[in-house]
Amino acid sequence: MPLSPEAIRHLAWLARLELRPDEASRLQRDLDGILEYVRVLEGVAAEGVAAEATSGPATPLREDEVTPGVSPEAALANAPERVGEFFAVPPVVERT
Amino acid sequence: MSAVPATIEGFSGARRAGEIRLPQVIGDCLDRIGRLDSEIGAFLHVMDDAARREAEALQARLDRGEEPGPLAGVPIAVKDNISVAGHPTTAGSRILEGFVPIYTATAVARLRAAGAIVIGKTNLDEFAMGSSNEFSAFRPTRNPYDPERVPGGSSGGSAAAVAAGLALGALGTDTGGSVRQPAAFCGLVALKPEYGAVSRYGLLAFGSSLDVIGPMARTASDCALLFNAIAGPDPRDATSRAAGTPIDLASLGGEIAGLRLGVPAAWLAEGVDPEVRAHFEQAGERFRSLGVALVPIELAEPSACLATYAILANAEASSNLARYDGVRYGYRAPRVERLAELYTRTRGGGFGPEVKRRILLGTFVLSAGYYEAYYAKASRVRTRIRAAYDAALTAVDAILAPATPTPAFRLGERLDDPVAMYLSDLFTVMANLTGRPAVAFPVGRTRAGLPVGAQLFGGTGSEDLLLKLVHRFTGGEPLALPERCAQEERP
Amino acid sequence: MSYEAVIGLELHAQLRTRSKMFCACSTAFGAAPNTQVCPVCLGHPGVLPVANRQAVELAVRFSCAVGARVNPVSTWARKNYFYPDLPKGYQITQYERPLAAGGALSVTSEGVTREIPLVRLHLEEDAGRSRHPERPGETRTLVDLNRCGVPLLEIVSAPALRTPAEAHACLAEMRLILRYCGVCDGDMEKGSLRCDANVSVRRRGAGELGEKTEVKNLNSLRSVERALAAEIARQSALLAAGGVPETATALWDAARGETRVMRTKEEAPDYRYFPEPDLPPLVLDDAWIAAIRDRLPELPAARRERLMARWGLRSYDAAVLTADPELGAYFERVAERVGDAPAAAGFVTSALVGALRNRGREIADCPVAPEALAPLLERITAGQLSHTLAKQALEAMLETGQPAETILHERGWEQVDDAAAIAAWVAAAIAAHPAEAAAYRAGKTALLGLFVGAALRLSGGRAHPRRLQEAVRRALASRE
Repeated sequence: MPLSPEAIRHLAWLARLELRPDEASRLQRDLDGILEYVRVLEGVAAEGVAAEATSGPATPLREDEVTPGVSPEAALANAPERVGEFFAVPPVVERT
Repeated sequence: MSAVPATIEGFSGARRAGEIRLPQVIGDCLDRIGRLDSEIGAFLHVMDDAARREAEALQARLDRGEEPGPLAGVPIAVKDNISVAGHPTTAGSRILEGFVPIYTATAVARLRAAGAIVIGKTNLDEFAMGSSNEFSAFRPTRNPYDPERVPGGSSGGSAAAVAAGLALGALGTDTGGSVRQPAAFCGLVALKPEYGAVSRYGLLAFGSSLDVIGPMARTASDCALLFNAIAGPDPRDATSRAAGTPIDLASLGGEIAGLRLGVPAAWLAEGVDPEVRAHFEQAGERFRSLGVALVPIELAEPSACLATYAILANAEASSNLARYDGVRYGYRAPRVERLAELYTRTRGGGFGPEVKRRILLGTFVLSAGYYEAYYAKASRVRTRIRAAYDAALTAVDAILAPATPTPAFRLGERLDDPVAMYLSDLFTVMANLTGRPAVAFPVGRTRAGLPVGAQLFGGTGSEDLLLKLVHRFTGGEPLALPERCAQEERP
Repeated sequence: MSYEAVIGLELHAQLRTRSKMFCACSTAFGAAPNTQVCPVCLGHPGVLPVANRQAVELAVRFSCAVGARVNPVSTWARKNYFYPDLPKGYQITQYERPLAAGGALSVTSEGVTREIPLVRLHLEEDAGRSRHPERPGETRTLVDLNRCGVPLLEIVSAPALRTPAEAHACLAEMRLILRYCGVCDGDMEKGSLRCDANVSVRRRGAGELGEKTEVKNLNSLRSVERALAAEIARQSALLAAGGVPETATALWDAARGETRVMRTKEEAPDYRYFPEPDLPPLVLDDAWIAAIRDRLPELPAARRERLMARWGLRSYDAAVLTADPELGAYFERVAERVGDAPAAAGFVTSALVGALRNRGREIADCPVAPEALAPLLERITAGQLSHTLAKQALEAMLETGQPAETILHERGWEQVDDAAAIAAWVAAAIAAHPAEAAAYRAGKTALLGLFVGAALRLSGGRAHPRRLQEAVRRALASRE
């Protein structure tokens, strides 16, 4: 089922990606093609099959010990904008 | 032009015999890069000063009688999605242009602990998303065997660097085939270790449950040397596994007669280039002549594998790439007044088209209303694929399959059709979905001189078996360097 | 038309570990900005999480304390959203299979005790802190990531609370259990314990739940109660006017005393939860869980019962002494040395606490040992010391550090029960007020207090109050 322009806009917003109009229509087309391809999975039976964890048998646990991290200078070294020892961003009005 | 040994093994032998001095050899290597890489484009960042300094320091230690490690002085290239402190790491993306990591990946630290010298960071498809290196934000990489063709991707820079003799080995990363497909296009041996065998700490994540750092080199022995140096559990990576024993290089020459290789005939039914098919069949013959039995087997449909992969890898990627937001590091869009714009314009401006495609796809398959039909379904299909794979391996010791449907394609050929681009991973993604080891190795060259590769897949912990099969198949000989890159080679 | 409220609480408790949930940075409060960070909690490219054993243990401990069922296998998940103090763009939490489910606690409010069930408990990591521009000239939101990655235990109650007061009591009890277990210090002002409240209103007797509002930004027990009351009022008014409250998220504005809707259901974010690929499932050994359960300290409910049973305390005093574990421990050491434990409880909870507070102290730094109070309390019980003087003696003990006997002796504050001495003071008091004495004898018996007070002052406060009063009565009645 093809994606609508609103669907693309919604996905772009969820992913915080600004798209030019030509980009958006191109991506819509591309995604439709990919989603069409993955329809092959509709023909693969998988009821009653559990999705297994791939990451390993069990979470390894770390002892509760403090090791020094990095200095604020190192932490902020790559910051596009800083105010003193803080990262700075345009003002947040409210949590989304 | 001085001689640089062609393999890591050869280099280490010459070094121990005192036949080469590291500052000279590293200097020569850097000269080669200077001469050849403007055309090839394998490197994004050459670590000239650092490499020279390390060579001096290592030579001083050697002169004092110390043994700095089995890889002492070996020039290794590292894919630019692996973090090296103090040097740029871009992941081939403008969104990390200028970013300098404050820590080094465990795999690189281990290479250095073995004495290796990181000669530079190699070009890649942006965030490892691609099969041709054409999606690097900075420049494409050209196949050393034919500059009009791609080296493969996403570890195309690492592959080209080794294939052109600009480094003796390289680290790449493999999420859906990204060390094996470029290895096949560039005539190399490349290992995708078992998931968890090599620490992912410092690997800029794409598909977290699929990503593996893998060595790329010109011979199986060289791959084994690199794998031994980097493998092993890491307390910083909760998905890393207990170490097996290191691969014994002497054992690579051991007997393979009596082993059974499964061949998925259905995979070859259609869509495979005739020359690739012919070389693959010849490879089968060669294994038979070495006493190995070839047995037909059935594996999961490649298209089902590819679809499962496309959903899971990109879902994970959409989440892994959320941190690139212009707040703490990397590119930030200029003149933003509101927070929402900070995100959308930074990411819209910083990411390339393939990355955006995959982020949107990944976001879609996780989004409300679609999660069950896409992500959850793909997760369950993955379980079935793994079960079928492990079952197939009860009847055979390893699986022999083509590495790619075609040899290296031309630059620009697949840029307009994403699905066509994804199809070059058709035969490689299974190993990432199952997590089991896989290796690509050269089986010949087309009439036009392009390398053709094949793959071996194995069961858990089978890296040594796979490399042994490759070593016996190739006789330990690397594919000849491309003529344009040829140099005086030492045995 | 009357309405009833249905309330559920969602708590986030910072766990008392030394290091963060997924990295080894310190969790200490109050550090300079961005000084307790590392590549992992900064969300740098290529980093990976590794879980903190102690955080898991504390979470299991609390789960056992509330009788929840600890799941031997639980899984980690990513909750994806964009915010400046969330570096990775996702929070590692638990979604499909949380650490524990079920459990309950006993909540007493306005004389009614009810069992409030819990739904689930799970582990997650905290975000950093954003400081939004407030003063003129500030144009940036500033981000400090010290707090990012601190371990949190999320505790979700069933929507089973019925009044703001009950919600307050429930929160207070959960906070107390967290503190008793050493799991969280429960400081809502510092933010180590945070509470969101979900409330919906429906017509009394209606079967279905109404749409709920999630109220956030509650940073004290009192705010929880006030905010719920305000929101219930708002929803009730809306219903009464024929409207229908929508599912929403609201912020509590303490200054204005109102809840402000921030976001409706349509605007609710899509968190796109999926299993965290960087962490294998959390697998817990039954023996390990059992050992944690066996090592649980005495919990508040059990302590209240025990204080009442062992020392004969009223439920009010038992509750006060339980609410402050250090005060309770202090009390018990006093009670072991005196005959009248309930009286000791009264003295400790009012006189001692009051005197300490006047000096800006807490029971934890009380310079007077519990044993040292015993002499005062024994004399009160024996009628040898008035309550008033006992309090003054306590003040003196706090000031000087001297033991009770010394102070009482030096100041001559032993209570005097001697009939002759009392008779002398009474006589003097009556003599000093002849007109009032005459009025009393003429029938104005209310003047008794005047003479008692005067005699008591003449005694320097030492006269036994009852004997004094009897003596005044006798003296006035005898027309001398």
